[in-house]
Amino acid sequence: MRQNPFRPKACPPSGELNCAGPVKTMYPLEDCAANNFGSSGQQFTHHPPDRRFTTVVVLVSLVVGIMMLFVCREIHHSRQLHRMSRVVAAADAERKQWQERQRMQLVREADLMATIQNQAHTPRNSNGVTRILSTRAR
Amino acid sequence: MPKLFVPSASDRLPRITIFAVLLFGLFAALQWRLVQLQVFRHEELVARAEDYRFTSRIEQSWRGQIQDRSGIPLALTMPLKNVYADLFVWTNRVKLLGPPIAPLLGMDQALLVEHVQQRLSAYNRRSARRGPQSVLVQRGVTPAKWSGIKEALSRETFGLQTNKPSSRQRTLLKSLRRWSLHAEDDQGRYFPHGESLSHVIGYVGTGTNGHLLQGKWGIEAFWDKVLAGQNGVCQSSKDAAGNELAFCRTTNIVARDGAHIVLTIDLTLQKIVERALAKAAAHCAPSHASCVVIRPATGEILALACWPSFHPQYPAASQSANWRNHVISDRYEVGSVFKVIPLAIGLDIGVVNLDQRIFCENGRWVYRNCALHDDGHRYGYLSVRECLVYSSNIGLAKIALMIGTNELYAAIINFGFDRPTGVPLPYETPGFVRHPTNWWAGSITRLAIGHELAVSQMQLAMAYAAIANDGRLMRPMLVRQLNHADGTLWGRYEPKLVGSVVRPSTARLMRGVLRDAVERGTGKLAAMPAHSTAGKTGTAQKSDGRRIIPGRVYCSFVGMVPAERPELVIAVAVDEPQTGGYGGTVAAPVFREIAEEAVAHYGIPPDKRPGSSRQAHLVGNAAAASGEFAFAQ
Repeated sequence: MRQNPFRPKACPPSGELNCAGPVKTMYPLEDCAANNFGSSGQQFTHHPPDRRFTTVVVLVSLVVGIMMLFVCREIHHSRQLHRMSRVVAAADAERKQWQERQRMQLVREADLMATIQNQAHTPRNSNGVTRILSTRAR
Repeated sequence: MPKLFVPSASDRLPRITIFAVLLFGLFAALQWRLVQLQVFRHEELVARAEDYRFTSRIEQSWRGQIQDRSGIPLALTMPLKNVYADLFVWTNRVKLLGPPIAPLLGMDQALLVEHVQQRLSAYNRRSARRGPQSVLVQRGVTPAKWSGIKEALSRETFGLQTNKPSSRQRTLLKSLRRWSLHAEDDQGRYFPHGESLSHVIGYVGTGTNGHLLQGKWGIEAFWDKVLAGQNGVCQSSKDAAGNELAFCRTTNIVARDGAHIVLTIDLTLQKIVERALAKAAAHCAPSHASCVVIRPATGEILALACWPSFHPQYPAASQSANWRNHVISDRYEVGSVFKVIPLAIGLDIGVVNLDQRIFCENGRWVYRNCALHDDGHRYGYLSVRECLVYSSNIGLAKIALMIGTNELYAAIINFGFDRPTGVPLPYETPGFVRHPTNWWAGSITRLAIGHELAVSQMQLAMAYAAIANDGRLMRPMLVRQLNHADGTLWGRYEPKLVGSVVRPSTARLMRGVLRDAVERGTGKLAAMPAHSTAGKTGTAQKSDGRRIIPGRVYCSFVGMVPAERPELVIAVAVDEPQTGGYGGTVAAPVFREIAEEAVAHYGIPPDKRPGSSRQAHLVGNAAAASGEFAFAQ
């Protein structure tokens, strides 16, 4: 079983009555804290609460920061998307207008051609002499 | 010290039970709602959600052009706009918006206001206000006009104060300018040559097949799928304002524009034919007149016209009877013009020769208790050639008897009179030929003179074209090629041989006989001064099913020019001319008028010169052999 570093095996938690050995009823935690130091008095597993708090805050800030980064990136991306979509829509509209103009131009040309076609032909006398009647004949 | 009430386990039980039941009930209700949303209304809610998120747009394909053989557009599509009024904007503002907007649309103000108010009242009656929220106020506005309307709207004040407007007024003015009118794309078909070729081109109507335009008649209907192309689809997400997010497209199928159809019709010749028909109609006031010009070597239809005509842009302005293509959709007992068929068969199978003499019974012959007349002529002995030249009914009836029932029937079938010719137009009649088992004893004598069977003008023209083409019967060609929307070639149609109906030598003999029929016989008015002409007249009396109606005749002439090597076959029909007459007096002059202008148009050299007909023939033949005149492109 893994040992809890905050609760060394030698020191039972406060209130536990079945701890082997003499029970110090007054300040068990201080004792435990004192016991956590080695023979030379060096700290080995336990962090003070203010440092732990700082670590947690930093970690949470990091996570929130990353999340905010992603959100900002999404917003930026969405704006880019809208901007590009507007550009595409504008290009589409321009293409459509150009096509409309081209098609209207075709209609005008066809109209003009019809007018010319009607004017190209003139009736003739049937005297047996063939002559050119339209632009297509040769 | 007061004694506290400590509930025992037995006291706590009902409360826990009630609480548990309530909790269970709550969860059950929640569960039921979930089932309701996720199972029963799943489809509806998904559709609603998708409707909010996604947009689907159909990109309309562009209808292809119809062109004549030179590429001259006969029918083309133009962009138009349908202008709508937004009912949401117009509510309670009809009187405000009507006066300034009506002049922009070129509409009567009262009419516009009434029209919008009618729709508004209908719109307000609907409790949920579902359905269209716009009303169509004008259809078919040109893009240029719509730009003008938009520009005028952007300057319009709608009677609002514009000096120092409040922010609310500014917003209202902006909304009115932007949303009072909006337009949707539409397509319109434009026929630059008006009524010309209307029976071939047909007309279009509002599409019911997903396209804005749909062919309803003629080429437009028969080739609708080719002309219409294929619509595109664009599916994508949209933002909260409803604008499409082009970069989120899930489906983007680009529309494929319709193909351009290039006809074999020569527009110049078509106009020549139409003018000649109109002139004839003005002269003899027929119920209708029609003409088809065919190039026999290929079966190409160079011109096809009917009178009276209609404007394909406004078909409803004419009677529906005027839409009818009489060349392909009507079948008649054509009369003498059919005599060519039994004679060609008689010569081909060798039962007669041109110089063989036949007794024509002095104009009256009773066969199987039924008298046959020669229309007032008292012909005695006539050669086989003269029987056709003078159009002797009795002579041809005797020739048919020599041919025999089965052979004659087989020949008629072989010429294709019992089936449609295959011209790519809707409503072609197959003709009417009875099987010999249904003939009466004298039927063979009547069939020989073009009675007891009904054929279309197109069938007859193709039969004459076969004789002009050395006995090769071609399938009529109306479509020369298909081009992609960008103008590149998609496919070309080649002339198609249906079969060989008579030997080339027989066809040559027949052309000689037909030439005599024009020069010496009933078709003298079809003779041209400089070009040899071959042809046959026909005058069929019409009946009401039991007896002949006096004065109602179907006059026709089918001829070819030049007679030696025909380049053109022209079939003219004039139905029920009010002035009376015969094929030789009514239809033959129309043939001549068309033929004279046609040979000039194509530059076909004269092959007939006074005093040196042999040399003239050689000149004509050499020219014909050197090229194909103006047909080739």
